[in-house]
Amino acid sequence: MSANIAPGLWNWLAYWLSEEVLVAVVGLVIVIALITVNSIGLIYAELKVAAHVQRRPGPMEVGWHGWLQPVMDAVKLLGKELVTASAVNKPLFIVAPAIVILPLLVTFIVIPFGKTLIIRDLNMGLLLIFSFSALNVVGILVGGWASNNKYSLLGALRSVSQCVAYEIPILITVMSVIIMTHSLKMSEIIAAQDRVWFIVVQPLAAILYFVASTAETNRLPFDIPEAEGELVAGFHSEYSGMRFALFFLAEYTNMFIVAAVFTTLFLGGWRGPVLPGPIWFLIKVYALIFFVLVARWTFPRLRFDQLMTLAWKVMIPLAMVNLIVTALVMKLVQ
Amino acid sequence: MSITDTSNVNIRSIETDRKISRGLSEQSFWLNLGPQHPATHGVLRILVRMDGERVVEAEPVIGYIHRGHERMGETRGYAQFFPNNSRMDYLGALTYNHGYCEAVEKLAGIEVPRRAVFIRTITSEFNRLSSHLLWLGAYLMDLGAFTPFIYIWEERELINDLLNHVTGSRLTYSYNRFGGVHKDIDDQFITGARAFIKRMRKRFKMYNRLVTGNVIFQARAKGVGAIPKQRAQAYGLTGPCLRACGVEYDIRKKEPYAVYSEVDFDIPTGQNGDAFDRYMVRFLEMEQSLRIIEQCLNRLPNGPYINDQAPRDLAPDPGEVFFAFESPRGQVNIFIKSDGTRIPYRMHWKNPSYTNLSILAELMRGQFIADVISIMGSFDLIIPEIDK
Amino acid sequence: MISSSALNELSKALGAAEVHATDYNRTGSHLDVTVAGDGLRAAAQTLQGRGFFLEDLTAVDHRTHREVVYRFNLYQGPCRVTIRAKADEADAVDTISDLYPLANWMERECHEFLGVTFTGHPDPRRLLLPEDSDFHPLRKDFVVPQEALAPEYHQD
Repeated sequence: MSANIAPGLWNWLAYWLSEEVLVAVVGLVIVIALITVNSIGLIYAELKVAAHVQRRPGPMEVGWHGWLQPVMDAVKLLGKELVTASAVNKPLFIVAPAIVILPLLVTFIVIPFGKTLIIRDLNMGLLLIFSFSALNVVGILVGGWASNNKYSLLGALRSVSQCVAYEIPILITVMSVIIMTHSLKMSEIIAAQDRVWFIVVQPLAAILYFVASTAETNRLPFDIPEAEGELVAGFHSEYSGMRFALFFLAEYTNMFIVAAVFTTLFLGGWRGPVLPGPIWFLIKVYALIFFVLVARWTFPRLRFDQLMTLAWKVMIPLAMVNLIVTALVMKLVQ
Repeated sequence: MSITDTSNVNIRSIETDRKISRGLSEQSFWLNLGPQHPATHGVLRILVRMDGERVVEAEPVIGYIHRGHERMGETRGYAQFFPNNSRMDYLGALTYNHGYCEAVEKLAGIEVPRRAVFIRTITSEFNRLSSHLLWLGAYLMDLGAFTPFIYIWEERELINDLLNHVTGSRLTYSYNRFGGVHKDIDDQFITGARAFIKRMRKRFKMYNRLVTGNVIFQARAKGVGAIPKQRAQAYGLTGPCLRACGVEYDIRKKEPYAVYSEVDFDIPTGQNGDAFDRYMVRFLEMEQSLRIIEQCLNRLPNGPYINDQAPRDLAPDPGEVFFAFESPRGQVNIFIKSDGTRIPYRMHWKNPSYTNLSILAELMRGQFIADVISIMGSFDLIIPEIDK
Repeated sequence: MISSSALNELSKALGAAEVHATDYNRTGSHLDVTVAGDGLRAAAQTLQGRGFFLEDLTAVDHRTHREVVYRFNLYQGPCRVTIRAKADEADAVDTISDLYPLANWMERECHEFLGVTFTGHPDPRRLLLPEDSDFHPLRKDFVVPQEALAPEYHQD
């Protein structure tokens, strides 16, 4: 009897303890740790950047120059009561924050932190990232609908229109890059930038991608879905405590992913002299995020129809033109 | 007659509209902007019926902060009414103080020494400046730009320090007295004021670059909420809202009081009556306020700062007075009727935010909800002033 | 400055029943007239034809009767016209809210505070007071109900 079960059991164990699965599990744990640390760091960066743009010191009390402030904020959010209004659609209300954050965890599988520091270098890496990032919108819509609140619904509807509109320039500009690299694999895209970074070759695509992805992440000047002056807090008005923290976490994680993809596509990923790959990667990512943070405190908010006009009438035509020109040039060069 | 008897209810029922539309496809929904809302700057409720992003119908509902100032005016002495001024308009409290004093002095025939008149003008103009600064920050915060909101506080702190030194308060001033002012201004105030004027002129350049020239701000404000001149005049608008439509009407020039007829200043006007013109009118008014303060400081006469002969507890002869003055938001009308006793018989205030708000219902039709926020911000409404 | 002959002509055009002597520097109006209750709308219409705007609309409770006080002014130059109209026995006066849009709100306020009814007003709901209030606080015979006062202010 044991002779029959043992091979089956051994195969089962051998599979689940194999390198691929171990890498995935360890990677998942590291990713969750990474997004937590990233969010905490970004919250601190946001507070300090906001403060210095506004000519004030920012948090200074908690820890040296306030570095423990976001940790305390996280502790506070963890300890808050999870208030659920009685009229909400409970299953949807509870599941919405999860829908927003979980797809983003999946996208970390293909982010190339270094030459071999990538959990799984899939052939369709880029496609994975964009398809799972788009699920972010579903979470927002579900959260806004389930809150049973006109403000939340308005915020959710605006968010859906905005995200759908800005997905298109993102995908078209990324297609221009893919035409040049002939591959969706992250490591091959970085390998194709060994002589010159794509931002030099495709400046228009880079700018369009940067602006469109700022809109995707609902950051000012595109933060109409959560416009504080108008909709109080938009789609996450009704959420408190850890559920709100998950929405917050998702926003900062999305910023990281967007910056990581920009780095991979246009800034040569982990390439750079002297310093090891991951360090360069993180430097580039956080430099981009710094721009996004400063932009928030500099500009007023675009009105919704102006936002849509920008997407449909300005960015999509420009992206199409860029794509056609890239295709023509690639054809001529070959 | 009991206040708890509800048999006479005449509440506009939102439920009625829903019942009518049940069974038909519902196209519009009612949204409540307020009374607690970050953008209404006070307890104002605007009931809007919306069709997607557009407003079909809007109705401001006021009275959430009605405290009965007019009745308080009928139950206490003239001097005891001073604190009520600052509770009506907390941002323009010194201008209200000034106007109230001028009205009662007209009624009672009290003379004011020259130095006191100059001091009143200087402090009123400082108040106008700080009110416009706060409006600037709050309007931009509504539009999403947080930074100017933080920058203006520095200027306001400097003004508050100056005024605190002389009046004793930072927001709710009761500085004027019948016959003059409570305390004289000294050299520290004068040197501080001159230094502030110099600094403020430089800061205006910065605000121009940061805000006025900002493309997104112009897109949010230009063409938004344009009031036709005819409608503005039909509603009796006053203040920057009217001046943005091109009508040059400022009580400081039309019916001068205090020292306004002796100093040199311009009245900025706009052309289109949209939010951007209202913004520019207020911005330029700030510069004109600096001019007025500077001229007053240069010409400040020596002398007493209060008329000692004026009685502290007034009992004016029976009569009426109507006085209009210019607060940062527009023309304020005071009507006081005296019956010879120390308590006024009737006191009526008409505040500019009240007049300006009355046009909002008509103006909001067909606008985007985001534009509604921009319009309300550009109107500079102070809700306690509306509700008295 | 407005000449006295122009003011005379204006007071005749308004159909004034009584012209009160007024000193602008003392009381703030250039012209102060009382019109009969039914001449009010005609006077308001005349003023509108001449380009005046409604500056203020209020009422005074004279204990035996209520008197509505209107102030009109010109944007072009100060010319303040005060029109007084005595409300009739039922405390009713004609409305001018169709001529002057601002009067819509001001008449509502006047009604709720002093009990003056404006016949023909399209929307006589309460403006500042609660919707179901049936008292008029600025009347001279208004007594605050005891149950509305905090215990320490009870007048026992």
